[in-house]
Amino acid sequence: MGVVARLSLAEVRQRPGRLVVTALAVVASAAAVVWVVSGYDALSESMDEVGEAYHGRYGAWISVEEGGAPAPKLLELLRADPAITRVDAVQQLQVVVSGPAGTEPAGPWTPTVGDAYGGEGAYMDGDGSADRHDHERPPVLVGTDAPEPPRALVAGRWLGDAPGAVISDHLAERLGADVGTTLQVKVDQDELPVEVVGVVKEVIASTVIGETVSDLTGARDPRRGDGPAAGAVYVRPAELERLVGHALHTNLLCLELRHGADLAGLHARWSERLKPAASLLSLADLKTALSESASTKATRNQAYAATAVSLLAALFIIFAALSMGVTERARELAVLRAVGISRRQTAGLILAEALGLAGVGWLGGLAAGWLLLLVAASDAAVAHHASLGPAAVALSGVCAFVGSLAAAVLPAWHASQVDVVQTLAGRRAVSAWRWLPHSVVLGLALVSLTPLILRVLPLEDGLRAALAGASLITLCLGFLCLCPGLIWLVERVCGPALAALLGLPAPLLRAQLSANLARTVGTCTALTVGLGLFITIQVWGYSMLGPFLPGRWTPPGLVSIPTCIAVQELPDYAALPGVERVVPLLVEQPRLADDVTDMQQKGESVVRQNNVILLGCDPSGPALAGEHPLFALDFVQGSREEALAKLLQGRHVIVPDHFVRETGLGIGETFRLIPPTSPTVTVEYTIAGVVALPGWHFVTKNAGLRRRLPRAAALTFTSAEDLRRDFGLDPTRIDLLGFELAHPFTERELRDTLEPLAERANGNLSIMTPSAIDDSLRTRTDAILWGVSQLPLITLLVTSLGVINAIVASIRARRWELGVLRAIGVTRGGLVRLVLAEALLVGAVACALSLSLGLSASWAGVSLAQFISFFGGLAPPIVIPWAKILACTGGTLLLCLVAGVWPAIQIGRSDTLELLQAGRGSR
Amino acid sequence: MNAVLEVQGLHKQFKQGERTIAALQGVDLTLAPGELVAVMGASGSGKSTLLHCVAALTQPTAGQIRFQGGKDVASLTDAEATRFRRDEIGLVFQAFNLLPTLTVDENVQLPLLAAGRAPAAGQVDALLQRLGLGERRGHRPDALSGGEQQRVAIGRALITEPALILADEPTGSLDSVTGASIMKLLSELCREQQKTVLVVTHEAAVAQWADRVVVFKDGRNLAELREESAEALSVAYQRAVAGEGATP
Repeated sequence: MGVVARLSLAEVRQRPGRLVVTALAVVASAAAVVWVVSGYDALSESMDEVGEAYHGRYGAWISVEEGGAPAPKLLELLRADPAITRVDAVQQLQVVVSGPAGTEPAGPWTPTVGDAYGGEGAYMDGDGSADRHDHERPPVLVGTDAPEPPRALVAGRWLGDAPGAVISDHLAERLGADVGTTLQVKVDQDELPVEVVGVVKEVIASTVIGETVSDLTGARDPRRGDGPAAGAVYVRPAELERLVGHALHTNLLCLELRHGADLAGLHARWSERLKPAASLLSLADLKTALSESASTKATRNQAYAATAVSLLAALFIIFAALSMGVTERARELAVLRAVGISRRQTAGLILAEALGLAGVGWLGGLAAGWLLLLVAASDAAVAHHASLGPAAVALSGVCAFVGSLAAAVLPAWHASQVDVVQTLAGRRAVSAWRWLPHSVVLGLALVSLTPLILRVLPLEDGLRAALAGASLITLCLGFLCLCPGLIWLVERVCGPALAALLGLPAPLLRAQLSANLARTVGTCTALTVGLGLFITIQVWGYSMLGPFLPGRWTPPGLVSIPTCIAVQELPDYAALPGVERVVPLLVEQPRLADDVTDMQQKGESVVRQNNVILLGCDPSGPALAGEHPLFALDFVQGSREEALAKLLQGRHVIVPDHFVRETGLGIGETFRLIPPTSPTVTVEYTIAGVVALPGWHFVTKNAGLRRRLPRAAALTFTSAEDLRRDFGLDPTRIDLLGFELAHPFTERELRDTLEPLAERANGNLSIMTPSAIDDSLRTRTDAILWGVSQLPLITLLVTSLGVINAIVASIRARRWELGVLRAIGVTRGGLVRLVLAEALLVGAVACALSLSLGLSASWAGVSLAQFISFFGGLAPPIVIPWAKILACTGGTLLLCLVAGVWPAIQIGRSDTLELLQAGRGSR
Repeated sequence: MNAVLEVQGLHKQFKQGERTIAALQGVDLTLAPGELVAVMGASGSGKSTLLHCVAALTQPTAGQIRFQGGKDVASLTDAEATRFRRDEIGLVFQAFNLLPTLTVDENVQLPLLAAGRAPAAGQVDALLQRLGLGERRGHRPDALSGGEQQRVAIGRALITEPALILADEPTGSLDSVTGASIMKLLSELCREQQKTVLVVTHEAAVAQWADRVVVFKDGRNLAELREESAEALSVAYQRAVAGEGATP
């Protein structure tokens, strides 16, 4: 055995406690990586399976835009394509279906506040967890001329020439239906029977797939679907016409492909040719898109983030442990150098210890992670796969080995530089404080780079975003450099206060931490990895929530009725008990003729879209005018009076502030819109005023105002007359009502109030109240942020093990000092309090560092999001959730206190004479 | 006149592996107020163990230690022993044992700070001036010479104004000139402030400053010497250890 190995083993024998605690920390870090990354492994494994389950026997399909029905010639050409064996034309429509008596009818999906997250909100957590359950999926009437079922038949037969329907097994279960059951299919006000002749397997589609398909096809029509329908009622086209009352355009062409068909060739032949009215999507496209979907990316990013966080935690814990080892063994290392051990061997000694820790940590982490996964898999309540995949093994290894080796570099260098004569003579090394001013100046310089890039330097947006992203690294390095300064500050500010609190001599706490700066920096930084990340997530998350909470402009209630009511029915609504005011409104969602939001250049974002929502009302009516208008708009440019006067002139529009910020347009400037019913013409609207509309995203989503496309660039206000004229809206019908009750009300109360008239709208009402959105958003945000905060909190827990190491090492290094204190009259309780105070000071530095880093990083994150993310264009103010942050920092202090208890008790019980005699050598 | 310290029949045994070591075997010693007594002996003679017992750092196996005629020091509880060390005696160590992170000023005040007491007005100034450390009060120990560090340690031992100072090889880490200056200082303080000082040493040059020298061998007081010069004391000590003309 080589000398390095022998010496390493001797160190292990000498300080087994430290090895165990440090190895435990690395084990926990690697286990955290395994836990998180296994989710990505499982997702990757299931990607093929999911795609095939969705497609059924079809290899590709063509999604056709409303009004873009395929010409017969196109069908002929498709059928002649060498890659295609069969083309089935499909017409789909959401309907209300009821089964035998006693079962609930299944109707079109009425969005509620919570559902809103299933679509747009999913980007907030990115894990696709907001999937609706099968029992909530709207049934879809599917007209098809396919000779064979698209999926396996589980009962009865497939459609023949005779009337009848084949339904999916999930829908059958939901309705309590079987072969022979007669279902009632309701379209508009008409309800007709149809007999079930067969049952097929359900389309397995998650929200993730739905969104992926929508993204690929351009989200043609949510009510007709962009791909194979879940909850399907398959009928022949003639039967569909009978049930609906008229023929439907084909919105889907399902393609059966030859075995080994050249998909690239198929795309080359058809993709461009089908544009813009239709899109071709193959199974391979779906699989590729799924692997690149936001959810998959989010899961992959989570895996990388977990690795990075755990790596940093392991790095700093090991760094602190190795630094302690080098400091404590300075004399031993000097002796080794004196007897002929080379500098390289001395450094190798430290590297060997680091590799040993990494190996133990990695293997232990894999074992611990695997056990965790097994436990989770056995718990039905936790949807986690027991899959120790290649990514989990590789990334946990990266975490353990890269972290260990990186942590060993500085201690190894220090070990190799031990001054033999000075150390053996017992002279103290040059104080690290000498470097304090340099470290602080460097830290401040690095930290200031981020605000300089984000706010001061005149840069193009793309370059600014790239530099600002890179500057997050310099921000972290900057705070690492500031850590010694913070230790100095905390010792001087918190030390005396803590001393007074614990009845200790203040000078004793003034240099507790700085006595071994490397150890303290390592320990505090390790704690900061978890706590700082937690604070960053919380502040960033709640700050980004701000623009989504409904502002004062939001009306007390908005009720959307997609099936419309007649104008003459309005008095019935106004006469409902408790209703104070009902304001009729109109809504349309036209595309923008020009890319005024610069979506093509800057990328799509929450406010960079190709369409706007136009809300039509009477400019002189109660919606916008009067003392208490329904929409209490806050004008940031122009005035209400001027804007309403212009609206009365016609083809004017009030737009939100973010719209003018993104488009560069101002009052008096125009933009062009394409009426959905007349795609070949454009209409021009002039901006009459600019208002602040915080929370408009979820107001429009929950009130069902996004009638044609899932996202919009802005909510705008115009004259109802213009809307009817330019966009061909029926002047006798109303599809949106603004409500005010005699007293403040909840969404439930409004729904109950409208109950008597809900039947007229097929029960298909979208109801929005700001309080429901607010409550739901906050609840959901709490849940999402709690979800993503778990890893930092686990990291914090793991790194608190490092505090035990640091305190034990600190005590070991100062045993003789503690002996002297006992000898001159400090009580055992005094020593215990002294050690606990040191642990608390470590926690205080970690809290101060985490707060500084967390607030800075979240500010940078919020600012950066304006340039690069889906939040691009938003400028939310910083919101600090103090209660959560204080709870976590308090928890950190408690963890540190707990970490110090055992060493404190140990030292308190030590014999004074032993401390005086044995501790001297450790100096 | 009442004795400051009375040690009677003191025994101390402890285990070293399988062996039982008898460090003290019936030691008797009495210290009068204002007296400077040196305990001289070879390494392992039990002199340091005596000091530790007197300082209540360890408990004797048998015998009594009475401080100013009060309670037996050997029977003090841990808390009482802590208070005894803090309020009644001052300790000076061979290795100075100053806290490296504290200044001279703070090191000197440490026993008072530990007791939660503030020094009397001008007390620290006067003491530091007397010790010749007036200009060094803001320095940390690593900026001081060995002699200066030991003077700080003496200051720390004196700050609570104890009746008894126990010094364990106080010049052991110093050169002979500095060592002599430290002993001169201790001797002067003893006379000026009527302190009783018990010094443990193996050097005649140190012991010569004492009013009397108690010679220890194998855990027993072997002889008591009173010589004027270091040379004479050294000769007398050698003779006593060799068993010639011992005066128990």
